Amino acid sequence: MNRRVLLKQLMMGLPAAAFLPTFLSSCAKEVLIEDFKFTGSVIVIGAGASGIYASNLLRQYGAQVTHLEARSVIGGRMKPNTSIPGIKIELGAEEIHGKRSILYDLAQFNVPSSLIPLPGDDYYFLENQLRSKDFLTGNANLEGTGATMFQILDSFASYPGGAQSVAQYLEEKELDARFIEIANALVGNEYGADNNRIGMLALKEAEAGYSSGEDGQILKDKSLLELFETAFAEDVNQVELNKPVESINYEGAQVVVTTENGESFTADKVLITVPLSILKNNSITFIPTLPSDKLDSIDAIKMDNGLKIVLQFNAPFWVGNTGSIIGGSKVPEYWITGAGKNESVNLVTAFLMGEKADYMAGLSDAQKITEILEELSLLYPTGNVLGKYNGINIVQNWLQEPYIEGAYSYPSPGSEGKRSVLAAPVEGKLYFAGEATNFNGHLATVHGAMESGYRAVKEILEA
Amino acid sequence: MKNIILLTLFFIFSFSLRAQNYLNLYSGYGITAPKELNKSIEAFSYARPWLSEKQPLLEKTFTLGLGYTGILAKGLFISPDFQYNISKSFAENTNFKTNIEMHWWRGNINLDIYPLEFGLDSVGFRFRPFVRVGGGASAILPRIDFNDSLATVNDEDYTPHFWTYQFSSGIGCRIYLNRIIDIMPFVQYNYQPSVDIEDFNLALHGTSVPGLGNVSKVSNLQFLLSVSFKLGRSKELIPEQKEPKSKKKKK
Repeated sequence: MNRRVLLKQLMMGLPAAAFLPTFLSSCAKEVLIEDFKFTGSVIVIGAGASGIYASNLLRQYGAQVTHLEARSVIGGRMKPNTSIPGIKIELGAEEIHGKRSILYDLAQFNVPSSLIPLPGDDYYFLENQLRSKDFLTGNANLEGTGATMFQILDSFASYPGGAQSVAQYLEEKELDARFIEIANALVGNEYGADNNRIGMLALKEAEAGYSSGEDGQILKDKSLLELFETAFAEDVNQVELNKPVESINYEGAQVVVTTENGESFTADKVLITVPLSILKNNSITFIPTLPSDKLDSIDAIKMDNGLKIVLQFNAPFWVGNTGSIIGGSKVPEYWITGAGKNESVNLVTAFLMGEKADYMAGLSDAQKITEILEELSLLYPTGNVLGKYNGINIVQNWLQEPYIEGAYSYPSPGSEGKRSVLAAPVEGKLYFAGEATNFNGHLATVHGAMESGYRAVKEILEA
Repeated sequence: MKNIILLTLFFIFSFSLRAQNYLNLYSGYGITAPKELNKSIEAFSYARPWLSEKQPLLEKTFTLGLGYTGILAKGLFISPDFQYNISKSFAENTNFKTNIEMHWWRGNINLDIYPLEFGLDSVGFRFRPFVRVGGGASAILPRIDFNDSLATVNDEDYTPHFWTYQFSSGIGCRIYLNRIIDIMPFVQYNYQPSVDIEDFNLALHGTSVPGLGNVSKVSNLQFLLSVSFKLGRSKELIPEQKEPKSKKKKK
């Protein structure tokens, strides 16, 4: 090989050599998530879905976790009731929304045989009769107004207008008055309030971010809380119950958390997963005060009352495959509680949020039952509803639930863009999680709460 | 992409009429580094600490390719080619199987530069090293299955395809076997600066995960072996007399 050839070969090698460092650097493992180790201490406040899951993640990655819960039980807004034999009734969170979420994966891994699609067909209360969705969208007498309603409800993610409530928007769109209650049940009640209290811009934000799917799932013979107790047994066992937090002092290098009974806990960081209502009512004193934008967001995002009232009957009065009954003027949505779980228990759940929940909450329990039975009798005039009611009921009023004081956060007018502010860490010491801090469209859901726990833990690990 | 395909066909057609044309069939393995994609996969495992078998990262590719080489000028050849690449990540846990596949269909137009002494248009060399530079477009078809069911985004099956572009470079050596066939080991580096993974993240996680990018850079170093068939008129690249002479003597 002569010198000229050698030089040319070297010239050929140069471009390859030039690429090598680029490639090697791109191959070199970056500081990816697994490499993060936080060996400091974290106090997690609240043992709901986000708190339990976040504690588990923090321990996986080396943190020393102290987990405080104000109540005597864990679970937050996951609250099963086993007072009626043969069924676990969910008085709080019930549905696994969609099939593409961390919660669905958790259930599929831990209790796959218990996971079933939301059973039954939906029926709508229209002009004192129960109608199917096919009737609403296809009946010639309705002249397409039912189909128009569903089209409007399905297009919130691309809402082009300005600030107004859902009720105002539907009026602007000249929604047929016969569908007002149905639309209220499908939107306002579903989101935790009613159409007068939901803001279109915040709703647009939520709908645009939602990505888990509409195929609802439930657990047939387990409760959501049992799922968490199974999946995160070690973390659940380490929760310190009956430790309501009174103050969080983050002035110094470490954060000092003091409980109502005077105990103090110190840690490098604090993860706050309490319900939004607890932040709103200033049950916890922050020293120093939280930043003003954080306070604004706490104020802007609303959280109302929510009621679940379960009634038992000696025999069904509903038609065979009924899942939900939508659009009542007193109760926006009923569902057959045992459908898919245990049909023989003959239970009906009344689900009310917002103004209707406020009204119903003001009545005695006996009055509540009377009102519900009256409406069910109107829906099923030949069903002998009153005669079949066996007198057993369970009333769950979430506003009266200690240390929770509400149902779940909803897209209130002016709350658009505020959830990410609510979620933001403060001074690298305070971190926030919980359904209200979910700004990916999964607010007011268990999987949204878990996602927020994941996000907050990632913030702590990466800090 | 349509223009690139038409241009490629044009080159193949026009150059197949000339001498020194090759049809290249190749295959090989590669090391791939899709940064943000792998971060996303890692985040998936991180968020599911209950899974004992973590989701492997996309680190290897298998490649099949078809290409053409034709002379442009002395020592300079054009090599349009078309590759299929697959990367897989599979983890099986109790009740929970996750399979992630990335299918890459990559079309490139490369220039192969030979030193003049070694050029295909010169004779008398068995080994001809070359340097390759090129670029082109790719169609990417990701697929995610959970428990053998296709992942969904808002209840819609996740079956996307999207386009991106890449730059390539490489080194190789064309080795003369006989008048019809050459073999060509070569190493090729491909870089895709912008691969859209927003929907991939949604399908994998069910939500947009804070901190995960929606665009991934992808680096891919391929180790390939090509069998090249000469097309059209062919010069005697190696003088015929070398091999048969000794055999005749034995007889």
